[in-house]
Amino acid sequence: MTDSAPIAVTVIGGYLGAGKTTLVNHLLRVGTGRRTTVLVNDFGSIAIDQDLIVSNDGAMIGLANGCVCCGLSGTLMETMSAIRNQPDPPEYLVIEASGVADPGPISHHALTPGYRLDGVVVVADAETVRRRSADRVVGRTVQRQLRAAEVLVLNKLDLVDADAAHALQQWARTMAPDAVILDAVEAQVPVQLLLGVHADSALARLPAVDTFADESHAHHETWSWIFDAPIRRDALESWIAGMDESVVRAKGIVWLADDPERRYTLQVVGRRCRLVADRPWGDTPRQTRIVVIALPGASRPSAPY
Amino acid sequence: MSRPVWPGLSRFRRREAGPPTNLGDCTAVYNRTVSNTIFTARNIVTMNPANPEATAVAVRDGMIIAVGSFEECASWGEHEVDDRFADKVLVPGFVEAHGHTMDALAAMVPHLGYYPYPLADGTLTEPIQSYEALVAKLRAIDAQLPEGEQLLANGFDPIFFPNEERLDKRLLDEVSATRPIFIRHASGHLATVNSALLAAEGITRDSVTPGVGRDPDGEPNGELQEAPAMSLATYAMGTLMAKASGPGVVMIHGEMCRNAGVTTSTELVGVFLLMPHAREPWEQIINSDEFPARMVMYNVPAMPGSTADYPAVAKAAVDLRDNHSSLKLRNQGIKLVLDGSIQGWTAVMLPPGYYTGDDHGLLLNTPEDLVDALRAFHAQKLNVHVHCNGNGAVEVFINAVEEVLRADAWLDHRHVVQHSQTTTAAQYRRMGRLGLCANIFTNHIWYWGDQHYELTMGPERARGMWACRTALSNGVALSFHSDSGVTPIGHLHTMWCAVNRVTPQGRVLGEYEKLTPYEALHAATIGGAFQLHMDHEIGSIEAGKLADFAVLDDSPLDVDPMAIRDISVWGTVVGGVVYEAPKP
Repeated sequence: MTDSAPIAVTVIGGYLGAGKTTLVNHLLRVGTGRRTTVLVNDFGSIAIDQDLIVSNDGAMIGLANGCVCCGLSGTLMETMSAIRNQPDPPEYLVIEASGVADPGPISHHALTPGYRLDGVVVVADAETVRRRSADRVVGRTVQRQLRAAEVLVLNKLDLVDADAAHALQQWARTMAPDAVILDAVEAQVPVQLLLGVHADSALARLPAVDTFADESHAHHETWSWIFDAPIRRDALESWIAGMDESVVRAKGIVWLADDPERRYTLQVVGRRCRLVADRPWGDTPRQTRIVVIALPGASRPSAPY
Repeated sequence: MSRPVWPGLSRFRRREAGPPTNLGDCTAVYNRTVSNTIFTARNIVTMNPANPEATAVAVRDGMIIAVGSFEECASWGEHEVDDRFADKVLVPGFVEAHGHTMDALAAMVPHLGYYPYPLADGTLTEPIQSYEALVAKLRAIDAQLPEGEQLLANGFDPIFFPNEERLDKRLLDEVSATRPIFIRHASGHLATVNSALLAAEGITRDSVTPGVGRDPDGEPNGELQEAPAMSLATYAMGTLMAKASGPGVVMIHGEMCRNAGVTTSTELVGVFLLMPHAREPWEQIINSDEFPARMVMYNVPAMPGSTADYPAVAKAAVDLRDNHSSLKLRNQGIKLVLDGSIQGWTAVMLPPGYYTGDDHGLLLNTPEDLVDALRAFHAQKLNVHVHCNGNGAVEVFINAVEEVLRADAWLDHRHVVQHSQTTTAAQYRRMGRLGLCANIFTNHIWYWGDQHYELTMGPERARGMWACRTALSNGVALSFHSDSGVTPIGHLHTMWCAVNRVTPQGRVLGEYEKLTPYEALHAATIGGAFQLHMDHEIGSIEAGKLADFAVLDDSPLDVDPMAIRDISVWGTVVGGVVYEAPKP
């Protein structure tokens, strides 16, 4: 394995027909701004404008925006091992799970050397998800999918009326207590909320302005902080736990008081927080840098201390 | 599409007429004889109800031309007599309609199963029934391995050690503190490794991969659960996968078939649709004279748990079946996997679910997706076999068949519920009316029957599992299988289970589901052939069929039913060619 940065992995799950493929097609069209490989569940269902495609050998499609899309021909373990060992591995890997898969165990593959887990996105069909979750055969499967979500996309909300939509949101909150819940029609969700790619670029630019150049996403709120003193683990954790529900993502590099010789990476998606030991600081300046993204209209969180 | 009535034989006749066909080397087998060969035997059990017993069978060019007395066979003209089976019993070659070539791994990697596993050379692995035996065996292997090589082993099953502490690195460290050791469990979902392997692969208390088992102090304890954690043992997993997927496994599987009297076996996770380049190496091996069996492929359209463009896959499968099949290697249909295993608590069970333990039921296709898949294959008259261990999965499959049949009345589909371990009487009633077959995993009665009684299903349902009698009473066509690799290939054992239903602890599980020896032999021969749509070619000893026999010391219809599994197998005859099993 090389010393290059681990590949960030996002798993997209949800029951058959919820809109996963629509979301993946949206993602492929818009692009991520980074070299990204998308592992799709059914290669034949990929629908991309011909003029975006730069190569297509029947097993792999290359897009002008840097995305590469392919299906799974062996086990996920074998495929991820092959991707990691490519001479020029991608920066992002998006895995579209099948309609019955539990995205939780799939995301465990991203917690192996060479990878890091960016998030688990689950798409739910607003019209049918409640009925399916009570089905005597597939109910448990649907419940497990919802529970695994860090970002839950309530899709096809245009097909239910306002009362039903409100009730559904309440219900979804109980089924996926840790998730950020996003409303969507035709799976149109800002890519920055799905992948956190823009938070990455914001981190790289720090200190940075509080808005992104990308106009289509400008209405989401982002803030960033830099601290030049080590931060206490419990202070950081309680700060994150106390964040408003409107906070969708946070990420950063952390200088921890109880382990000051190593960098830590911070990943917050929804209410789930991952703080993982990284390489030693070496000669790089020791500081904590954190970016937070929230839904439009959210107010700026207070600083941790 | 129209299925040729005699796909193999019609090609063979064209071959005789002149230009060579795609049959390749295997035609040589069938052209070798210049005159008829008459095999004589103490008894021939034909499974042809019109002519149930005989003492001679005449074979020409791999095909049976007459069955009866020696004189009746001799009246077909010039012949040679092969009387080497004069004191043996011939039965139709056994048909294993749910096999896997991965059973070869038992011969390629040290096997740590609780029960002995028969190997291709005729020997048995040593059963590992205590931790002392485990350590002793691993030490013996360690002593023989070159320095620096990892010790890989397979087939350990913790369900048989309920009173022992969970296996972890400590016991394996007693075997070696320096050589990395990797033990894959029988389920394939777990591995146990020693401290040297943890160190060699850099698995530490800082590893973030879920499934890395830990001691209370946070140090890895040597257990690696599920694929992501197992993948941390990069060398061991890579080596095992390479061994299991190489074409070398096929020949070993064929030899195991020969030793068990199986003349037609199957690969129920065929990969020719997913990996077309895998086909030619298999063809070369199987179509050669040396390969002692016929192989029937049921290819998967996608990795289990993912989906595919089913109409396109169906077209490719038709091409495989019609244009890339020979007398010895058929691409006969499609395999789908709908759930997990009962002893792994991953089978999908209807209420009341599992008796003890947590329900990890895993449905691998949505019901909607299964209908899409089945519709595409059914429309091309492709025979579909679906892995259903739990009755929840069975329900989903039956519903899909009913849905597809409403629009597309191919009544002779013979789609198969594979494993069918917990199928209910109500489900068998529906299966009978819908034309579904059951291939029941009767070997579980012996290998895990007590565990199903005590842990997974509880007494009542354990007595009703593997409901062979209920299936037959409802007109469901029946076969048995070994799921070779999971249990050893061999129908004398599956039949023994179906007839006696006895567990290692002496329980009789399901007195009222017992079959007679005749019914069991039917399921193991013509019953399996029927589910492969090959009952017009194999499965009984009668004129016009391929000359495939199992050569036994005694007839399973004559011995004490409890002795059926102890009958000695001399070897097989496949297409008139004799294959003798090695005698250890």
